Amino acid sequence: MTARALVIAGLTALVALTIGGELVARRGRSRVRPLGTALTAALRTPTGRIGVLTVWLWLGWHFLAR
Amino acid sequence: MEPISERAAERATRRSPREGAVSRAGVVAAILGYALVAASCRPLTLPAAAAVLAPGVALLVIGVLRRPRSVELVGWRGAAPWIALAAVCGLAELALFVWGNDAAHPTISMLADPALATYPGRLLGYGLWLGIGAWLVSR
Repeated sequence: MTARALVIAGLTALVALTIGGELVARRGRSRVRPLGTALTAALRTPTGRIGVLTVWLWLGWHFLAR
Repeated sequence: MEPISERAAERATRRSPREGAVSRAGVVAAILGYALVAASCRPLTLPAAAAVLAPGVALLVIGVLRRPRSVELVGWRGAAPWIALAAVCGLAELALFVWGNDAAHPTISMLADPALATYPGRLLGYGLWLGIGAWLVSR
């Protein structure tokens, strides 16, 4: 297995973990809250809003502009 | 009994389902329209930087000034897997950038570059990014 394939496999595993985590969180009995609920809770405070929106702005800059 | 002025203010801010749907359709149309224009800007150019910074900074300021919704509290346990995943993604991107950043050790952005080099890819990218931004600001 090449290093490139290993990196892509690792990143794919992270995406799969995110989707799996969301599916688990949406089942009623799970302690983990869905991603949207966790993000909304993080946006409750001014610090949280600045942090989350800054990360969002950086992602747009990094992928679309730089 | 609550004062009349408070009830009037509540009625004024409460939206009917139809008004809400019209408002959402307006936001989606605005995002799509902006993405159609912004996607024509190639990355690493001044127009692309302006196309990201103009709505990005505007939504950041609106989002910070806006009063947050009252929401359910989420404890550390409920959010821990998401915080851990975000940290792992950030560290992986940083590690690949510092020690690799080449064809053999591509970063997430390097893998996305071929798609974002095309107009449809950028259209999808701007649409997703602005859609997520609008959703975050509405929370």
